[in-house]
Amino acid sequence: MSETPAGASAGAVVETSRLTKVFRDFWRRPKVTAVDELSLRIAPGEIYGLLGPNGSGKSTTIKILLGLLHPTAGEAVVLGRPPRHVAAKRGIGYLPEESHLYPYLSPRETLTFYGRLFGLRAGIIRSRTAELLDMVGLAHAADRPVGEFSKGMMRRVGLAQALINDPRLVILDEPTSGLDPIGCRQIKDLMLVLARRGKTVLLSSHLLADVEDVCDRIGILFNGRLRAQGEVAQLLEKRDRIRFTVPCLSTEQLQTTLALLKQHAGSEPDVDHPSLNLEQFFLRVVREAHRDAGSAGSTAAGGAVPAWLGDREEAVS
Amino acid sequence: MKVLAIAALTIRDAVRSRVLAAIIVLLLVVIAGVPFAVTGDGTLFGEMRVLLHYTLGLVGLLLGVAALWTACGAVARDIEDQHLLLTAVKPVSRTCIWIGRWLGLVALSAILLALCGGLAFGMVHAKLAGGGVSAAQRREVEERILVGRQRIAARPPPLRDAVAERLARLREQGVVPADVPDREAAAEIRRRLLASAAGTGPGAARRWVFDTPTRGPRGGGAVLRIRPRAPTRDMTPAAGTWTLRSGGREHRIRTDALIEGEHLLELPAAFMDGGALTVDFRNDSPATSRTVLFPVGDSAEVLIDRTGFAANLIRALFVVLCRLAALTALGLTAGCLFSLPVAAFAGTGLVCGLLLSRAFVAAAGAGTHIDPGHHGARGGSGGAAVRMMEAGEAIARPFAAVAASTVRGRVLPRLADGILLPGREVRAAAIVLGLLYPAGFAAVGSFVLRRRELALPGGDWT
Repeated sequence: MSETPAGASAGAVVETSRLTKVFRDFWRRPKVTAVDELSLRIAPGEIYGLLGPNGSGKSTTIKILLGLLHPTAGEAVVLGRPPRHVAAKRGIGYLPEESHLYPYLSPRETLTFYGRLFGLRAGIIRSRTAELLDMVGLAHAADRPVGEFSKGMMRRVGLAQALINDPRLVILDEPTSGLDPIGCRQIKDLMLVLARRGKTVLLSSHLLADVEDVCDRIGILFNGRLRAQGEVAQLLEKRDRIRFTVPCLSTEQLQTTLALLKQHAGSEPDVDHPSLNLEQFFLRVVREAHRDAGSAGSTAAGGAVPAWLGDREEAVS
Repeated sequence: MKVLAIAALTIRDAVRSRVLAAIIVLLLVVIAGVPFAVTGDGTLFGEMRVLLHYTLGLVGLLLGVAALWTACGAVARDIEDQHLLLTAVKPVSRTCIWIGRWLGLVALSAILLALCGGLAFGMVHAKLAGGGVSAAQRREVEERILVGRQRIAARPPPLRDAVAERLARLREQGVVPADVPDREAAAEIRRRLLASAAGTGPGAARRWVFDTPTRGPRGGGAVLRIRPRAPTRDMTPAAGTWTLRSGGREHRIRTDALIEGEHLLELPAAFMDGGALTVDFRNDSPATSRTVLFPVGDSAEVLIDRTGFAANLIRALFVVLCRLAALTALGLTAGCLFSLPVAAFAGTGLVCGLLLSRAFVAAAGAGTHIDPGHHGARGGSGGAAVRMMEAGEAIARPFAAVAASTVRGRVLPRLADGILLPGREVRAAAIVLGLLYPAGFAAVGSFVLRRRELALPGGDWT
């Protein structure tokens, strides 16, 4: 017997149809409509970004998709099943906005605990724990209680636990919150690697640069409603403008080229030097500093993405 | 495996918390302090009974409160701190979460209870082995406490016909008012008949009949334990002859100094043959002497040696553990329904309510409430009070029945008395308290957890 709800299209990893969530007060009177008739579809291997300002309904949507909240109306299907179905949860990895980790457990104990909840064998848990902690750069702190960690370190443990089951769908709620620029870059690179290996990533963030860097498609929520949706490149492209990037020209060559362009375009073209963004500049400086100091193994330095998360080994940074 | 992972996490959670440290300190204070604070009658026997009855009783009470409150917090705090979010998004059912938490907490209670029981056991033997204990004192403790004797009560006196006959007669004579129901009048007549049957004056006789088991006693043999009472403060010893008859055999025992208290009369092993044992007592005291009272109930019983103290202690602790398991289940389900303080209040209130309802029903049954016979009529303000009391009793009765099923039989007093806790009672505790009640609470708790939205917003709902 198929457990796929009626209306769910085949192949979609996440699909919602007119999903609505109304929060009520103690007397059951409607208080806030956090999600309003949201319909979206996320395909396998896609990185989908859910964007929106604070209070737009991103986290509520994610919590409904995880079965932590019940929709007031509409329908949600995750990995072909209703979100509250235990079987649907086997293929999901979730990094919440706040870490919610048990403070008295060490990262190793945390990953072992969650690995056991997935029914993984002890040997597999052991090897995956070691590789994931190495990947997030916490191998050196594997046996310290999580309660002693900084927020960034907790996020890294949270990320590792989200991957312990080699999930088909990775749901990341504000994954870069509390991380330094290197950690942010690592998370973004990890998302790209996961997508290349066939995983589906649902990313919720209000940091536009993060979303722009990694997402294939985005949806913009405002007051619980989906205001815009599409591929990032298409949405951002200015189709009435063209940009050329060429190696530096001499003054004479530049004048000739500009004259030619002005003749065809009918207006003065803009000319400048392309610049790095601040993140690229920061990462270059830190990489050089690391090389000069010959340091390795700090929290910031992540290891390789484990092979079992896909079929090819790739470095996070 | 998933259940065990959650159980292990629960134990770990408790071990890291200060609450456990506080409980351990309190338990140690109780075990070490109560024998000093409550000295009993000053004898070694009294000291041992205090140690086993009051010390282990307080340990059970303390662990009960701890089990209830810790269980309330185990889920409620997990929900409030949102630790449960990460567990709930894993492929683990809410029932599994509930059972894992319950198993972890029960395992913790078992460890603490075993430690306390071990300490009490060690203290009993250390006191016995210590200096200043005479051979007679040691023998008394060994014979009366450090044993597990099966208790066989006498057949209840056949009063039904006598009660019915007397009730009919009193109705005819108009002694019993017409507005007093048969049930109340019969209970009163029965009480009076039992009271009159208890007295055995000089020259009078009293008979008990016991159904002995087919299995013979262990090395310690069998005894007849009698507990006569004095009708006044007169402590003059009474004399009497005890005649035991079973299967054509007869055995006589003479007691010359029968005073109020507990007496053990050795029974020949051959009399434990699976048949009826008849015990006749004849009060041989001079005519001017006092009456000896043998209240119907536990004033005479046959005790048959069955097992040692260690085995009996383990049985008693197991029954206590079953009670803790039921309390833990109640606490967990309360924690699934409410936030921590509300759950703790509701759980404690329910337990207190159950125990009070039992006491209320027992008091009402014993006739300590307003007796309609004394007021002459059921109308007026007295009648209203009676009706209110009856309504209260009707409401309390089902709760009292639940309470009775959870605390059936007083376990620790019997342990301190060297009375064996019967296997059927231990099995009943395991089934009712260790399985049925927890299963019921688990069904409710996991249903609530399934229905409950675990990520409801506080201030920020996005």
